[in-house]
Amino acid sequence: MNEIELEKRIRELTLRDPGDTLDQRVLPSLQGSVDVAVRESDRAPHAAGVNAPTKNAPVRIRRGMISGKISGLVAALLIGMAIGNGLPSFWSRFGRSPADGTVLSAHHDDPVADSEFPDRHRMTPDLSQHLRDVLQNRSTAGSQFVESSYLSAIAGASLWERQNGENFNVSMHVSDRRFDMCRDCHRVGG
Amino acid sequence: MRAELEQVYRQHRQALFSLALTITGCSGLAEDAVHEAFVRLCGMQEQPSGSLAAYVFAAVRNAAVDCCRRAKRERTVAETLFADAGTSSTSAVDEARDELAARLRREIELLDDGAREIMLMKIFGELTFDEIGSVLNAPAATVATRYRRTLMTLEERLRRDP
Repeated sequence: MNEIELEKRIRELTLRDPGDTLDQRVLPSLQGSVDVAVRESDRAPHAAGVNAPTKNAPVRIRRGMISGKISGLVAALLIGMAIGNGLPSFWSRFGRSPADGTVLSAHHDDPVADSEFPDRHRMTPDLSQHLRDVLQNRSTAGSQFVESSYLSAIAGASLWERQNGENFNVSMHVSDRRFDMCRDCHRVGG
Repeated sequence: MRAELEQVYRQHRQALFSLALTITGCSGLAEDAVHEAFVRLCGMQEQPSGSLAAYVFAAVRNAAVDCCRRAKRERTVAETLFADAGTSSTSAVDEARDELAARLRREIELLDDGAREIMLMKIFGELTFDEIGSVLNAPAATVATRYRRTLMTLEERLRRDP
């Protein structure tokens, strides 16, 4: 089969007919019976389906999921920072140090109590001998208590002796460990 | 002007549609392309210099490329260019001719886009090589060479795979 014959064979083939729909769209424009502007509504319905959203919808959903995850991550980060900044002040209200978890005594929170003994209660001779011995660590009466409680009790005892003019019996008064001191000392402001 | 355009449309409507279908690969987009091209041509005030048919083919081709770009589609032939001949033949000669036509249709659709466009415009659009060159912005000699090479390729394929 030479080229001329092949060309003839091809010419015998029938091209696909576009159909009446194309004529209905093109011919009115050519005959001037309609406006020549192309509108979206003029487009063939199956051509519009080519770019239908079904193909792109999953992509949009996936993008939405990614942006949602990023937003959630940022929100969680901000909440975490807020909680982290607030925790130290939160724990300090309960008298706990967040660093080592040890319980701080009331005397450490009260500067007056800490400075009570050396500043306000000097070792004057008007105190009882027993109390002076205790204050000068010559007695073992208070050694069973922890130092902070012992010193608080002694501080209250010196004030009690001044106010009442009586000897303060350390071994009797400083016995109730629930209050760190006896009730009399507590009453006089120990 | 519109009368001349209508004449070109009635004479080449199948070739114009097939050219757009070759580019878009979708009959709906091809219809859109032909429609858009004629709407634009209707707005022209002056008749273009040279062949009006070639000008219309070029307008349809450009509109098809635009439609394809808008629809973000690849330039592939997803739909057949030719009408189905059917199986009405009874004699052996007719059967052989139908089989050859079917193979020819298949081979033409397997050609690359450029070669298929040239073949459509040359054989079905009856444009000259000069006119096809003006549509494709290519020299007439180049178009002629490509056309002949395409025919040789088709001939070789038909001979190789009987």
